Amino acid sequence: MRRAVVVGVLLTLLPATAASAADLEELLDRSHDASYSAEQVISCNTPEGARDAVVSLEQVGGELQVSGEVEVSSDSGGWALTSEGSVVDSASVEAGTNGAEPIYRVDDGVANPFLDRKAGLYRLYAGDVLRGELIVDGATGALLSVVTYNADGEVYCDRRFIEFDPTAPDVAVPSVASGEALEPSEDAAAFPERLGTFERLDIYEDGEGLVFAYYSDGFFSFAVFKTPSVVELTDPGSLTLEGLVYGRSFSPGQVTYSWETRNGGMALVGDLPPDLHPEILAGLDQPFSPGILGRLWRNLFG
Amino acid sequence: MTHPTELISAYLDGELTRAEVSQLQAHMSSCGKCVADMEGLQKVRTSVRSLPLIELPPGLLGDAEPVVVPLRRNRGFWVGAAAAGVAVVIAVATMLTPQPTSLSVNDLNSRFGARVSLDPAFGPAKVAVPDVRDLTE
Repeated sequence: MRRAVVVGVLLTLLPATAASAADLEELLDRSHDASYSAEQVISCNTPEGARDAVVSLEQVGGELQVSGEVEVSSDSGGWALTSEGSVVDSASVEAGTNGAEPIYRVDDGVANPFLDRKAGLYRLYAGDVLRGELIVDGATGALLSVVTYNADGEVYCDRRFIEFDPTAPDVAVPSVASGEALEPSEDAAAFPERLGTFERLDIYEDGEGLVFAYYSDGFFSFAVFKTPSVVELTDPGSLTLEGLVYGRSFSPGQVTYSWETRNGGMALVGDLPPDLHPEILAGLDQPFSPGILGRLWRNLFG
Repeated sequence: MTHPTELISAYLDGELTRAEVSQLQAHMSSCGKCVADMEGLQKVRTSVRSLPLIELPPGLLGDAEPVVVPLRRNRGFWVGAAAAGVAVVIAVATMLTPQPTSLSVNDLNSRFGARVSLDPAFGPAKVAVPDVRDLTE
């Protein structure tokens, strides 16, 4: 908390002088605790074309509601997707490990007014590679703009507020917790401890034969799923790595991979820039097509 | 009277069963025509076998390979029947076998979203918009 206050003071002073360096955890903590309403534009340049969206955000403390064509509500471990007033899907988990140690270096912030507000611009580097630019509101700590980059310097996703109201939303974000929360599993052997620069934090197993692990590098994150059967993607593209084909689909702010393996299916969901995908996929079970008889055998005998 | 011409040929090839040999001998004991046919056929075979063997010029047959012709043509019926049986078993087994639980993209999104909400980076930097087409699945 004391660190967050220090960062807040520094951000307030940013317009007058160049700010001192802050670490990523402090910036994210402050943004996490902010309350506001905003309109956000998401523009992602993916290998399969542009993926854009405009959404409304309402954040109260750690709770966030995103409204667009559908409505997504999230709080501490809960997530619900609502469409036309009905909950389409929801899930709830408990964390075993809160976060990974960030691999990123944050440079000295510079004053960068945004939406007529005092704000600071911070750049995130992995080694010498620019991976992100954060524009942080001086008064609230909210992330007004987040731009992420591929290693070649091309923008992957640009998320920026086009409207911002720093007062807490009148309507509280509805609680999304429903059913029993999944607890972290002890079956650590099911997934690699590290994938590239990403650290495995938690593993979960539900009653539907689905097991998944959550990985983070302190900023980007993804989940790897092992499923009884391959998950069908809507209108998928593909990525071929050394002759192996992975089904892939991009949506604004997110990528999903799905492929069949010798033991069923695997999938990956995350916010990773595309240049990070090959190294991560190479560390997982390879795509495999068993053929008709093989599929029958699998269905009969598992 | 029906003359068992095919049995005569098979007899000379040693392909008849004992019962068929008895049946043929019984017929020939009273059928001069068949006896004459058998003698004629035997002479032809003897003549053919007495012809000299010659060596073919290299390359005359190219890549031709020997073909094994089944003696009994009705074997194809049984092969077809067996294949059809296997196909029926597979079809029935496929229909009766419970399929693995089918998971959708929404199932993945919900679990990922729930875990992300516990991430220190959760907030505007993590906002993602589900593909509405997935909702209809």
